[in-house]
Amino acid sequence: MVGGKLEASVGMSRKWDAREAGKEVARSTIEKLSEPPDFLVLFSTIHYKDHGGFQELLNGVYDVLPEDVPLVGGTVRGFSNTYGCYVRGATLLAVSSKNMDVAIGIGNNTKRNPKKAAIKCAEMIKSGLKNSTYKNSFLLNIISGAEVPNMPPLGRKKVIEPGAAPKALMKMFSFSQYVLQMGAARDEEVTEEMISQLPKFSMLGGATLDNGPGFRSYQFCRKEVLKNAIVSLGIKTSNNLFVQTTHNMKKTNITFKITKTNKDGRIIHEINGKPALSELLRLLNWPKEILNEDTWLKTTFYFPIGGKYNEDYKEDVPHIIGIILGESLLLTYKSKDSDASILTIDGKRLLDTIDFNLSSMKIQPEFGLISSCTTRLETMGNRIYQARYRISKYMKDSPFIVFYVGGESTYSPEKGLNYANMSFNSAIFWNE
Amino acid sequence: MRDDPIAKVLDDLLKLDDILACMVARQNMISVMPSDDNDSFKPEVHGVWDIIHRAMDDVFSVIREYSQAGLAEMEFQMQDYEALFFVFPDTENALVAIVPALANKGLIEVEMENARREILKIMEKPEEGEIVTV
Repeated sequence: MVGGKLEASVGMSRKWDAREAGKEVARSTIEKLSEPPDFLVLFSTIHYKDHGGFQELLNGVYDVLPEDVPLVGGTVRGFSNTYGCYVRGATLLAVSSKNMDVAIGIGNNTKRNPKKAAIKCAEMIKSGLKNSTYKNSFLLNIISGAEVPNMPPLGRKKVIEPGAAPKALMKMFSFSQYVLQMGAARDEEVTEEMISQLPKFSMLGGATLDNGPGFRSYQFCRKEVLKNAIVSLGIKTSNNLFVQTTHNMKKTNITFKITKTNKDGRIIHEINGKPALSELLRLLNWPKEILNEDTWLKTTFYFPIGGKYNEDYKEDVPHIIGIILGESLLLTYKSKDSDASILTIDGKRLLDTIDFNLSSMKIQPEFGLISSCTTRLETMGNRIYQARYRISKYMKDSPFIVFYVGGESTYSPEKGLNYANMSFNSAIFWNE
Repeated sequence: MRDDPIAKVLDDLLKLDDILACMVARQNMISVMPSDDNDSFKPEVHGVWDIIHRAMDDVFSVIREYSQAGLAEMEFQMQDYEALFFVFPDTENALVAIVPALANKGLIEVEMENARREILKIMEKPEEGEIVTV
């Protein structure tokens, strides 16, 4: 580290065995640093659950690194980094800097009580950074993602056919959401509370995932493997940073009114005064059979519902339907605007959103963390390498990780909160 | 075949749940199989393997014709399965995978691309990557 400058490095492992992968990802990361890291950010695909388990993955990392180095992370659908693009493996970012203070926080039960989880997490960050004098503040929020609800006797399904009495369905869903903590992530509620607790911090967020079924995801904090939690990395530094969200989706000519929701606005019961699912299918001119577990990605994800997240928003922001409960639609956010539309995107716009995002700041990056919607990864397939090429061109030789999650956000005191699906969210750091 | 580095790349690919079978092949010829040959193919593919194999040969005549013109990928769906062909540039060879027709193809394509890149690297070192006919 020359002149107290920041040093960052990204490592990776493709080993199948969790412990071996943990060791390799740690070794390959720190071999490029001249000083011990101040923090670690670890992302892994879900595969290690069946190849030794995540505890072993973390044990492997700490076989190589001292236990006092703070680590946060979680499971993601895939990642791209300095090496390539992957949907299997683990990647680690390590940063050393003499001009940086670091703290980590945890809050549990995010799906049951997101506010309480955020307050607990924020308190840990505040306490850990209370003596820091650095002017720039950053928070990485990794939050447990949505899970398919468990509604016996219906089981775990994304589509519950109309038929069961609506009130009974809502009761079953509530049991799954609040008792079992399987249902909506409520990650935007967690994020909103983090902002209210730490309004001067710029933030980057993403919700953890598995490799598709939506049955389980994990968060990591030091050597702990967590479920239904928020883990945050708080940084105060003299290094500069910016955060930015872009999605580049375009509005179709399909617009409608959300006329009836549940109390918190997360479940749409009626559109244009009619049962929500039937009316949505009519507007899209889709047959009922088109929506099923197998076609989920190419239907609901490719045509998300657009709406203003709050009244300050100028454009419709994409949010996907997470689950269909009879005639009702469970959204990934709480709808606060009755005017809605259907959005869509093509391959060129998917790629261009990267340039729009990164060109907003002309600097020489030191390192970057980017949360991107998994739908972007799954849509582009092997062409995700074209996305990586654009990011690498911007980052030059500086290390970065793009982690593919479900429910992404940025916040800055100047730009406010941007929470969306189908989006590309950067946090880029640079020296003065 | 057990020490063949290309077979090891195929072994890794085959460990993914949705890859039912994979190989490096060209028309009328499977060049490299996973280390345990087709014993490591997932059982559900065995029943349709013969017909898929025959259809693959027809696809390879297109690959042979257009590979030099930049043909990079092909695929076909048969019954409940899909065959993905990732062509090695300017050759008649392709990495082939058989996957369930309703698998999340986007994710599979990422690892197919990684396998193609890895195999290309191996092929650039002739002593390691000599393609052997089986």
